[in-house]
Amino acid sequence: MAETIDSLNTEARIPLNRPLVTASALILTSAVAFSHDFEFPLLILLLSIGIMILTNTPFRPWMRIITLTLAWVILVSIPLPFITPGEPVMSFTFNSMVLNITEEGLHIMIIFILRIVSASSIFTAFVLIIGWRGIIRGLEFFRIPRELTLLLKLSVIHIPLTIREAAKMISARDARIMKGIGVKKLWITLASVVGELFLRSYERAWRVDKAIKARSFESTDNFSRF
Amino acid sequence: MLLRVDNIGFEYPGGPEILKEATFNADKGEIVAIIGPNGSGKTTLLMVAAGLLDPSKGIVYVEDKPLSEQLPKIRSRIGLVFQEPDDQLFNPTVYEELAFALRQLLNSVEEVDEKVRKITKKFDLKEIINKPPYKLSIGEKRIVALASVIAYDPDILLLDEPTANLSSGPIKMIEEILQEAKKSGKVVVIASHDVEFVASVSDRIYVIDRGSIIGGINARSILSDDSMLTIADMNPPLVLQTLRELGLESENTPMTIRELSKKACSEKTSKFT
Repeated sequence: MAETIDSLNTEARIPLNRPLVTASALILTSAVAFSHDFEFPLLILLLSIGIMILTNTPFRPWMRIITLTLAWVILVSIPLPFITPGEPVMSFTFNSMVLNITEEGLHIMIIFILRIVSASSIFTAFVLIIGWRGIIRGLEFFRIPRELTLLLKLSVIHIPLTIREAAKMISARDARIMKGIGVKKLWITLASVVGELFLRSYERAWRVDKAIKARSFESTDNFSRF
Repeated sequence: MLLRVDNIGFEYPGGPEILKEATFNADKGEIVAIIGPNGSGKTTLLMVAAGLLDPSKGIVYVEDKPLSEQLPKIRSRIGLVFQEPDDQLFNPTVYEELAFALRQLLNSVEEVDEKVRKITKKFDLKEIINKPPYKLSIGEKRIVALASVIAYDPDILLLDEPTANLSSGPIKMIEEILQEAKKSGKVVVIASHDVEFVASVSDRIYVIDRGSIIGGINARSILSDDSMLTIADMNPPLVLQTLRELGLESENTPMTIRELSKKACSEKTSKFT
C-alpha cells in the first residue's frame, strides 16, 4: 500500500498544462462519482485506460490502486443489497432473522462499485501522468487555500511513512514471538500496534507542525497551534 | 548579546517541569554547545529559543528585544535543525524543501531558483535534488535538513543533535559549515551528546541537567572537568583520555586530534629551530 501511494508522488511524465489537467481530472472524477447509470462510468473507465495507453504510462501502479479501491468499495457496499427495499431475488435465514437480497439493491451496488472504480481510475490516470505534485500545482493555480495544498503534500509523504512504521512495529513484535502463542494472544499483540501508531502519529504531527512553523515567516496560526 | 534565554521555565500541559529557570546566551561569531543526558530538556530548550514553544516563565531575547514580540517575522533570522530529519522535511522533493523558506523571502521564481542552485552546489545535492526526502539515507536527510535552513541564511542557527547516526564524512561537512557560519558572524547553538564533535567546534559549553543549566564557560574547562561531564553523562574526549592515561595532561592539553597534531608539529618545529 505504501509503495502504491509512493508511486503517485512523482513529477509529470509529460509536460502538459497542469491547471488544465487538474481541472479535467476534477470535473471528470466528480461527474462520474455523481452519475446514475451504467454507461457513463463504463465510458470513463475505458477513457482512463485509453489515456494510459496513449501516454505510455505504466499500468502497474494504476492496477494496484484500482484493485485496492475495488476491494474497499465491495466491502463497503455489501449491506446495499440487504437494506435496499425491492423485489427479493434471494433470501437467507440468519438465526431467526430473514435477510433478503433485492434486485434494486444489487443494481445500486453494481452502479456504486462502477462509479467509484471509474472515478478512482480516471483520477489515478491523470495523477500518474502529471504526478501528484502536478495536481497540487494545478490546485495552487486555482488559488485553493495553502493549508489544503499543504495537507495534500503532507498526506502523500506521511501516509506511506505511517504504513511503513506500522509494518516495522509488526515485524518487531513478530521477531519476539518465539513459540505458538495462539490466535487470541497474537491479535492482542497486533492490536497494541494500533494504539502505539496513533500516539506516534500524533507526536510526529506535532513535530511536523513545529517544523512548518519554524520556516513560516508569516502568521501560521490557522494550522499551527500547540 | 544576539540571543539571550533568561530564566526560562517550561512544562507541557499536565506534564512535569521540563525547564527550570534555564539561562544561557550566545553572541555573534560564537559556537555554543549545550550538553546533557537524554531527557534533560535540550530539545525543548532549543524549541523555546526558536520561538516554537511558549515558556511558562522567563523571556527569550533576540538583540535585547523579547522574541515573542518579534514573531513570526523573526523566524526568518532563526534556523532550527531538528533532531529527527523526518520531522523536519515535509516537502515532496529536496528542491521544494530548499525553496520553501526562500519563496516567502524572495520576490521572483528566478531568485529562488538561483539561490537553490547555489545551495545545491554547496551541499553537493545535485544527485538527489528531485528525490522525495523520505527516500534518502539518514546522512542525506540530515544534510538536506541543514541545507534547508542554511538556504535562507539565518543569523541564529540552532542544531539539535546534528551528528546523531552520521558517518565521518557528513560530520566533517557539518563542522566546516558551522565554522563558516561562525566566521560570518552568526550565532550557532548546538545541543549534542557527541563529545568529540562538541570538542572540535564549540567555544563555550553549557551543561543542562533536569531542566537547569550550569556552566557557560570555555569548552576546554568544561570538557576537562570530570564532575561536569558526569552530570552530562559523557566521557572526556578520546585524546584527553589517552593523554591522561599517559600522564601527559597539562593546562593546555589538546582535546581533539587536530589540536594534538598541531601541538606535535609545533613542538617538532621548535626542536629543529
